[in-house]
Amino acid sequence: MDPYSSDILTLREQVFSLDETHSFSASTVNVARVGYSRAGYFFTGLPTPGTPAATVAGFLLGHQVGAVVVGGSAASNPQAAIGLAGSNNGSNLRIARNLFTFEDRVTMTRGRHQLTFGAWFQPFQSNETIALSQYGQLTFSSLSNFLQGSASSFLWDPAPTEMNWRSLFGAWYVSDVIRIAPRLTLSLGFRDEFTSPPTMPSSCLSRASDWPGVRSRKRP
Amino acid sequence: MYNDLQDALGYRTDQNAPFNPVYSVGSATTPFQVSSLPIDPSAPPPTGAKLVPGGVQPDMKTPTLISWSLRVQQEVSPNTSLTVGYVGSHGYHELIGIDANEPFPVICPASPCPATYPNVPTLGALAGAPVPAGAFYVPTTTRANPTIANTWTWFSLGTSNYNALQVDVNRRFSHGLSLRGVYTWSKALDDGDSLNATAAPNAPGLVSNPFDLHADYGLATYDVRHIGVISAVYTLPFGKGQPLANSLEGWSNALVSGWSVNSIVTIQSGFPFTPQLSYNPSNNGDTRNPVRPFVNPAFTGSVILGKPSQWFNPNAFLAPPAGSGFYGNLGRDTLIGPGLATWDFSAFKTTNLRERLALQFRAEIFNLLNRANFNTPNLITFTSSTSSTKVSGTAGAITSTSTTSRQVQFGLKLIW
Repeated sequence: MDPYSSDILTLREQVFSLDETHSFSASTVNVARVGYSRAGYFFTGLPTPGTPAATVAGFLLGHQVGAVVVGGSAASNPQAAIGLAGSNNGSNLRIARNLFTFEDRVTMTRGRHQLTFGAWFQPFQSNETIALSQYGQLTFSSLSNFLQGSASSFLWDPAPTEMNWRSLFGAWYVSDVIRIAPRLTLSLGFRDEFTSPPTMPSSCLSRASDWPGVRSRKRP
Repeated sequence: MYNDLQDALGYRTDQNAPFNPVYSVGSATTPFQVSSLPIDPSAPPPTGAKLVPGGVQPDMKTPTLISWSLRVQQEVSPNTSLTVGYVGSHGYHELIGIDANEPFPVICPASPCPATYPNVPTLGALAGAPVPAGAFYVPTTTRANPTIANTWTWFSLGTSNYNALQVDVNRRFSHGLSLRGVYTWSKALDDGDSLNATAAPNAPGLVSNPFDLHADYGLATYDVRHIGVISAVYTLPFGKGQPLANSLEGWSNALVSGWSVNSIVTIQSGFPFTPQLSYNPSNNGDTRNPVRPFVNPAFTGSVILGKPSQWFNPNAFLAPPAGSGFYGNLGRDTLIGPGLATWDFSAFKTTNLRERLALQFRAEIFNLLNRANFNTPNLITFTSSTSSTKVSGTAGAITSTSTTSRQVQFGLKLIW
């Protein structure tokens, strides 16, 4: 453990959901559901207050001191021969996420069939500042290079920006459970899911439809 | 749904210009001097600084897993069942981390690959030895795109295979005793699964050589060969309605009845890990150092020493000289770290206060035997300064444990 650096982690989660079950008849039931989930995440590494580390000048003007790796790699949370000063270069990370859920499902029984169909939608909001290297990271390949002040790399993000992702998830599905014989049932189903291209309304990036590799639809 | 995939993409693509540009300055050959700090983040980047792009493969595929299983369950007594199963899976289009801006290598013996390895003492038995055909050699430090730094890009090129034998003996609650034992003998193989260093610190998060992905195919970082868990719940047979001391009344009955003891014993073999270098000898410019050392052909004896001060013997490996242009030939995740054994024990005393009100006293002990379950050792085997390459003094040293020391806690619970 490094007494000169501290990690602070804050997690928060609130969930609300409301179900309404309505029987239209002895063989037809409808379940409607609305839900809201809010999750918060905050993580930072900082020089432990009250120790000499708290007075060390930062690598970037106006910021606290960043991370130092001696005998290791320039990755975040790397392995290091000597050790790390500061837990990693992921500091001042914040995520606030909202999920709104709307679902309606109908179940009908007809003879030997039990038919279920429905739809599910979930607007997604994620407001996040998860830029790494906000305070910079110095990496030294050996102890002697550290003592000489010769770093093999210095990484920094000069202008962290909050990202405000918006997207819509959705699905529709239908299934049938068929009682073929007293001891044999056959389940058949289809579910189609989609994700709208993420957008960021608070910035010049109004639509990230060209996000590489984002398949907007899948059929499991 | 796609939420997980999108989260992952968001993490990787967030680290990009214009919103979150990350700059890098310095290299093994042109070090960055600390005396140049601090940097004004509002000023233009200093001379020599380059953008470090993050991102994903432009035509990324959806990671896919095909799994299959077969289980047979047999009743061995009225209260006991035995289940034996086989589980297998194959994954493809899985995400692996690649530096997508590396210099182009040649495959030896193509020119300009040298005929022999450098004749330096630190290469031991490989000094001056012929370079085998098929070895990769990076003749230049000039990246494919020299205007930007190395990248951390996810490609859907990973594959995985998993096979497991599972045994489950389950004795349902009878005569106050419930007992279950499960055992899994498994092997998980892949060519990369630690998407960043946080996810799996026992191996680098990036492929060692992007032009030779198969060289990274080996044990998955989450591979555990053996794991067994035995859990038991036993209600002590004392007090009213029980075989022993059932004639007691009042306080004496309240004192001896309602006791139960519980145990969970977990024993598992260690995770694999990959020895690493604190520098990158291959000229490929990846500052995350995923290049592995050479296997020392002259080494005899056991690589695993099993001591917390030095879990593995660094003499089993040789360090590729800095700037030599060669990759080491040690496989990924070829060594196995410390195993784990822990025994959690608890005792509960439930006292009925009224018909629908009970008070439960709980004493719980985690890691009852106070066993030190060691974490993965320090993987950095060799370090390099501007003048020399040497074995790291902390190679194989273990500095942390994977479980806590013995923890004892007491609690009171009102049940209604």
